[in-house]
Amino acid sequence: MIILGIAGLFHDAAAALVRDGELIAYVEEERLIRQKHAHGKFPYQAIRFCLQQAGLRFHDLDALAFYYDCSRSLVCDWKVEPFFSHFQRHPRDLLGYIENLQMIRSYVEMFAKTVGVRLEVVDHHDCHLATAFLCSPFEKANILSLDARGEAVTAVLAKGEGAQITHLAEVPMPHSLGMLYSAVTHFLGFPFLDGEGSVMGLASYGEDRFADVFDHIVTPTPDGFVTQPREYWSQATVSWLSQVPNGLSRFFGQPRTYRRNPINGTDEHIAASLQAVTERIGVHLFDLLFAQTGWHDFCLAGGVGLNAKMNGELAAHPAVQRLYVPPAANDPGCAIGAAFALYARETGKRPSPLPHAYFGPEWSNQDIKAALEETGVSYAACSDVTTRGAELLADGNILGWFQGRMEMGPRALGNRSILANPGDAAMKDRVNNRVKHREDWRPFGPSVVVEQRERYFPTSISAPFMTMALPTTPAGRRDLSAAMHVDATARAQVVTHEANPRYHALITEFGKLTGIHGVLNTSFNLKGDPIVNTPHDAIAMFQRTALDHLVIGDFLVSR
Amino acid sequence: MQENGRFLDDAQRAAALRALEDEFATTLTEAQVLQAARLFFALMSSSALVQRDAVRHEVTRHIADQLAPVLEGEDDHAEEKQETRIP
Ligand SMILES: [Fe+2]
Repeated sequence: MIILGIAGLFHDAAAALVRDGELIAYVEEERLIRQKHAHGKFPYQAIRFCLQQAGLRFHDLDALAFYYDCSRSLVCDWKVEPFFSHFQRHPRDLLGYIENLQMIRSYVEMFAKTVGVRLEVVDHHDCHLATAFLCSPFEKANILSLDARGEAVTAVLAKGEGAQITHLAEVPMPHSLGMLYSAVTHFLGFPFLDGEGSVMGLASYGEDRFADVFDHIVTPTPDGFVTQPREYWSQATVSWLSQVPNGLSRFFGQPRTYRRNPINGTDEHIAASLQAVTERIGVHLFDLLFAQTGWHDFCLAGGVGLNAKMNGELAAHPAVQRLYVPPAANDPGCAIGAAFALYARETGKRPSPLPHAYFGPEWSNQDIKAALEETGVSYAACSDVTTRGAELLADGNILGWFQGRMEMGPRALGNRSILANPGDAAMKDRVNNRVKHREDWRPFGPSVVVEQRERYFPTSISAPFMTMALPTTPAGRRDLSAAMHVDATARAQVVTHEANPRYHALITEFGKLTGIHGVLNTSFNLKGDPIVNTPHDAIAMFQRTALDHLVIGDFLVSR
Repeated sequence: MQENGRFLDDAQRAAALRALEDEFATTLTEAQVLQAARLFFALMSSSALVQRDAVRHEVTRHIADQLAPVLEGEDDHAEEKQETRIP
């Protein structure tokens, strides 16, 4: 059975091709069209890549699986307060809301009809739950989908056993932890979809001084949580709520505009309190799951699943033995989830867990050489890029590292990465000033080899995808000082030979040269751009920034 | 949403807005309320506001421009596949 999973038309379009339960290809549309989050786009380029990668055409497909059921949304959530009262005052907004969903539904149906493939629509949370559990290696596990919103609910507590996923509890609209996080993010002057990560970083500079405000907005309940939606739902985060000001002003004054340094004695504490309540609710939901199943393995996805700081807290939850957060926990990953969920539903069989995160486009040395020739940069063939790369890193160089198939999800995982020596604390500013141009209060993360994990992290948790901020040991704080946050946690990637042999070999070599068994790893892109995809993208970034070298396939590009 | 506006039918849209405004108006007779409610629910469950021709045009254009290599081709690959599917 061959299924093409599709996410798109809202934000973060992506496509995934699943053949007989095995993921063959996956890519985010933003990487191909070079437009971060691909707002409003349908993933034409991603679909083309997936089919070409699998050597298939549309007539080979058994089904398309789309990640959002607009019909269900249309009949459910307009009735919910405070939307209903709002729509009574502003019928035009209701019309806008209906139009958008009608358009998306028609568009997807038209696409399926035109390419002649059966269309199946999968509930949004069922996609997230499937991405969380069916990609994981666990035979049975608790599953949490924690999101801004789905069709009618914003979070689902579930359990997975084999191919079967069963809902245990749901948090209905309009109570949304994801929407609250986005609303505060916007209030603090950061953009929707990208700013949430900045606010999470900012939180570590503050203290939980506004617990009273956030405890008023969010309250845990025996089956999830409830919120005070009027305090945070607004046009800032939901376009069809026109003329609704940000309710957070009642507590914190005027909404902020973006500042490069937001630490002002108040805003970092707002971020800290938001983060604290998010973690309290996350822990509460894990408590509820554990109370129902008694199981110690947990899976987590949905937009809030990108919150590495919360995930680090959850990993330390006493009930948690293993925690799996997929590399694309957010909406693009739903392309995989939709296809996996449909496969499980129609065959009764469980899809194969993901062995790694590398299912994107790849270029041969021949392609790379052609791109190097075309752009006229000075390069040399290199027979042993791992040894040479390790030497360059040990000498204090900042490397662009471009290898193999592109990784999925928002974090670079060693195939489209910028790398540096993490043992030199000054390296963080160097990478920022010379290459990344990010706000200097935001941390970078390290990639460490699995053999040395316990040296740096006092945990046995498997962390292959940079989805958790882990506490560090004294050796970790010394060796990884440039890739660690102010609170002494690090958003780590633990690299195995099986998942990424070349990256594992590079870090191992670097360890032999320096005694440091990890590298600083940040995504290969400029602030605001998608991660590089083609050799041309990588070479262009090398030319535009002060990267010292670019290791691309079996070539070394130098200045 | 602005970007999606290109798929919408202006006349249908104006009529729908009137229906919605009626739905929420407080001075309607019982019969008018029923009629407005009927329109409203039809709107919720249909795709009445979308100009299907505009969507069809755009989808077809994108498929032709961007997906030509993976469409059903004139090569004989298609026939092979069909043969293997006959039980
Ligand atoms: Fe989502």
